[in-house]
Amino acid sequence: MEQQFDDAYLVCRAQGGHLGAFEVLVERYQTRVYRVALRMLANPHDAQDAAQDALVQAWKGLASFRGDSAFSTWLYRIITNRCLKLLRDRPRTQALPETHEARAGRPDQVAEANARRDALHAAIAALRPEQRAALVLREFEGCTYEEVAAILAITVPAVKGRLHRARLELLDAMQPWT
Amino acid sequence: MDLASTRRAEHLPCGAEVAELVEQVAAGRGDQRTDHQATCPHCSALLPELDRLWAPIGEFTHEQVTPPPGLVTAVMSQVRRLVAAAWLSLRTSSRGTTRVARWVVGRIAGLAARQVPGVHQVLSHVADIDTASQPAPAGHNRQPRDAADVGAGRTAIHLDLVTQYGESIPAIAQAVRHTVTKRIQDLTGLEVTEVNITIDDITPEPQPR
Repeated sequence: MEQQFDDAYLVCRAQGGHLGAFEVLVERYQTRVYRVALRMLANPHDAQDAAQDALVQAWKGLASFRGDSAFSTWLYRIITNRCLKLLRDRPRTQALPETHEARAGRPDQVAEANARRDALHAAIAALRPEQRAALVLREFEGCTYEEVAAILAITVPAVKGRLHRARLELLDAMQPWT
Repeated sequence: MDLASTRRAEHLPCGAEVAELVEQVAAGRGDQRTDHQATCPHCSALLPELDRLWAPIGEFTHEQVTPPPGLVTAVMSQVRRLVAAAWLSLRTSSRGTTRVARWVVGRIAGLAARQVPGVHQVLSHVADIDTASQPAPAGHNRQPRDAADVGAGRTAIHLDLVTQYGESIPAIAQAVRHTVTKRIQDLTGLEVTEVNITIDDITPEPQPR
């Protein structure tokens, strides 16, 4: 029911030390923050830690948020930077094989779908972190090019360049499976 | 040229930019062809191929992700430790101390205010719980205060409300003030000296009950 309080209002109250307002924001954005972490780090445990740290960091940094960008953009920047730092510090983050959802169908088709999914995971994990960040924000989060540029602090043409290279890598990885 | 190497080129022989075709497919508009694409043999060869390859990727990007169930709680308890919510002691005896976080008093205020007819939404906040409450260093829990001090300070509750159009705002404010003060007194024994109410918005919808 608090959905009717808009972000700017809640941010303003939270900046005044209002924990309830901040909690509404955390509830509203937890899925997006966690999803970025999961797709960037490819590991649910690391993703949970990163999401939690990023949201606490948002609280700590709230005073410095001036509303120049949308709150969502600011929050995406925090989680993306956190993931990029984790990937830099620990370049070979262990990707846990995601459990395959139960698929109906002939066993050979199921096996093929699972293998294709694994190939896709591997291809995303093989992307350079900067490319992966652009891909996750655009394709998984549905951010516009301008938003991705603002989050990653790069230009729109640079976003397009990274995205194109990332998409080509994924298309190549899918070639043997279709 | 096979299609795999065509993808790596910058332009198709017709001049179309490959990046734009890939973008079109990734955005799920592979089948919405422009006039040129509808007739161009190069574009009509590449687009369905890209569509086919992108399908499993697109499916994956739309997969639903559910955050771990304890995430909000974990974040908020860390944040609460950071702000070192003052602990209010309610009673101290030889058998132990009862204390309640400032946050909890705010919660009670919010829940109580919500029960008042004409009130739609509430954000609640406890401030200046007493004159002695100082922010403690981050991560450091305040020790319970002496029971003798309880009620000696000022307990101020701040409430932001959205009320229903047509209802008297002073009447709602009075009812909220009464309900919140009584509820906190009943549940915690704390005396509320101030209930500050801000009406942030009104809603035309009838209150769902």
